[in-house]
Amino acid sequence: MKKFLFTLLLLTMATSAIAQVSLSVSKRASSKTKLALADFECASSDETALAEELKGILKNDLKLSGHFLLMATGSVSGNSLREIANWKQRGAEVLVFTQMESRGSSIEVISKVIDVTSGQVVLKEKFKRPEADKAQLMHEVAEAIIQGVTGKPGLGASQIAFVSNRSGSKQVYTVDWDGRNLLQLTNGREIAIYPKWSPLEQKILCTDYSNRLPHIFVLDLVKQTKKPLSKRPGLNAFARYSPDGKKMVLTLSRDGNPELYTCMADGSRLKRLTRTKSVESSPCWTPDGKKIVFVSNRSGSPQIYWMNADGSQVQRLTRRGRYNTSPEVSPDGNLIAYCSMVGGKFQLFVLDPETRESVQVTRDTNSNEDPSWGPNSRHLAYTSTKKYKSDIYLIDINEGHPIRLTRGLKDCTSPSWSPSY
Amino acid sequence: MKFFRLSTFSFLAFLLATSLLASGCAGKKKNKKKQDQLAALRGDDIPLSSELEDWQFVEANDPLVFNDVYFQYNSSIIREDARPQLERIAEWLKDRRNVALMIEGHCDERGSKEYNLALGEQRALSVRRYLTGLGVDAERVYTVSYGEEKPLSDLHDDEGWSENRRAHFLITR
Repeated sequence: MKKFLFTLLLLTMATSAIAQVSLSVSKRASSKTKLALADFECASSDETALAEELKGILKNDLKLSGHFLLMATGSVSGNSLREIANWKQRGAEVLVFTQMESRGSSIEVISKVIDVTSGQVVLKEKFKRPEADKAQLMHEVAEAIIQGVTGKPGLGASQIAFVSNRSGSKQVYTVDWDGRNLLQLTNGREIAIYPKWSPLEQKILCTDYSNRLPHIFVLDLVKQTKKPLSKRPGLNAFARYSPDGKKMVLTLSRDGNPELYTCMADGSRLKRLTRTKSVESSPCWTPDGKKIVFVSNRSGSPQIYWMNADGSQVQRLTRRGRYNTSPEVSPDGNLIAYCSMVGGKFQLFVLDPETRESVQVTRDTNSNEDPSWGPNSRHLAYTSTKKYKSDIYLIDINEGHPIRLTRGLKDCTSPSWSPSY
Repeated sequence: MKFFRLSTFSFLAFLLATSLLASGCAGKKKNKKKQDQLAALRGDDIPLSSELEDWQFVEANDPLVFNDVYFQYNSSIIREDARPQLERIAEWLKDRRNVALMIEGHCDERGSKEYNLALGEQRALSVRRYLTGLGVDAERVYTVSYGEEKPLSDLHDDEGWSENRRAHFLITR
């Protein structure tokens, strides 16, 4: 009888999770916009190959956004009224026309987006970038199209910071979300780990052992500088800027136990938030700056909690799972991604802090951890480990389809996705 | 056994408290040390000493004294079998008042990296508290956590994991 009850419980748990996911999937499938992306119009025939390449990038970005069903366009390129009517008949809802011209070492693109149903021009905008930045140029175009049609943010030309052991010592790197433009940011003799992107500026906070002790450093990507912000006795780790950029939250052990503190962005004016016998780690802010989500093992095992930014009203958010860590709140504030140990491996989950319901995002045989939200509040970057080798992957929480981001680098972990600038 | 330990500790705490009251006007530093020892015996947090100006710690030449001590999975509690080892370290340090100790806290690769960094620090602090309770001056004991970043064993099994859940010791020359 006991066994039967247990099976029944498992079954209900499983069906409720599936029901929830399939419900949202069907809703989303119907909300996809049918988009026809016409071939690019070039100023000269020499540019056809480049135009094809750029169209490929744009097409990939639009598809990956999850908002569109891309229609087979063949070689259609015109945008006459007759042609628009023709597309309407074939079921298209949005038409994207692009004119492209190389000017010296830069590329200029004019993008025109037409809502077929109303016949209105949703977007007509000119973009220009050096040819070397052609991918970023197309990401910008894709971002404008996504925002113009859906009103929601895409991934833009955002980047991902992460840790790699490529040089033989763990250091912080950045890469564009499409895998281009790999850059090594730190190059010390000691390790630099756990990068956390500022929500406002081109700055990354990391836990750096340059002084042979874990201290908080800020990497300024514009000024190309690195300077210490917190080097108090003991552990200084996991610092994150508040949404307004004025404060930081971090873990310190100066008072004899790893606890959470806030301070000003320059490291001054420390305020202690927690007072426990347990470990407190991995804090992050909600986008309104009112709450701090964090990990604590006060119950005996690591679980996700949140509290007011002044340390009051601590509440536990995760109920299921014996080991839940690495929370990050989505930029739109609606969901908290975290990882949970399932059968000895980590899997990604998302949690609705209002209902406290969790849904599992990854289900493969790798160990998947450290989720970080993309600026569209829909994609997650994470560490995926197979046979003790780690790489950074991206996944759309609605549609699945993990995409591998890093290749041929050694041991890539701890991704942090930048905002869209 | 745990109850026994607790009662022994509270008894020691009581003895210390009475001797502290009796001694009354002992030196300020000595007083601080006693306060820390009492706090350690109660299991309270002992704030870390002021900023470490420069790193001068090396591996100890005395391997019989400075063996690593090990921890249970996801725990920073001092194990029964680690106590004789820590008592040896405490005695050694009490005989050499000008030597400072750095305790490194380490974790195995299971679990998440950030949480493990904090857990490693808690392990190091827990060793520090134990040594302080044995009468070592807390002011000269420092901690550093490496979480799971510097494993000793690269075996991915129970043997490797238990070897990696450790506190390692460095001393000043």
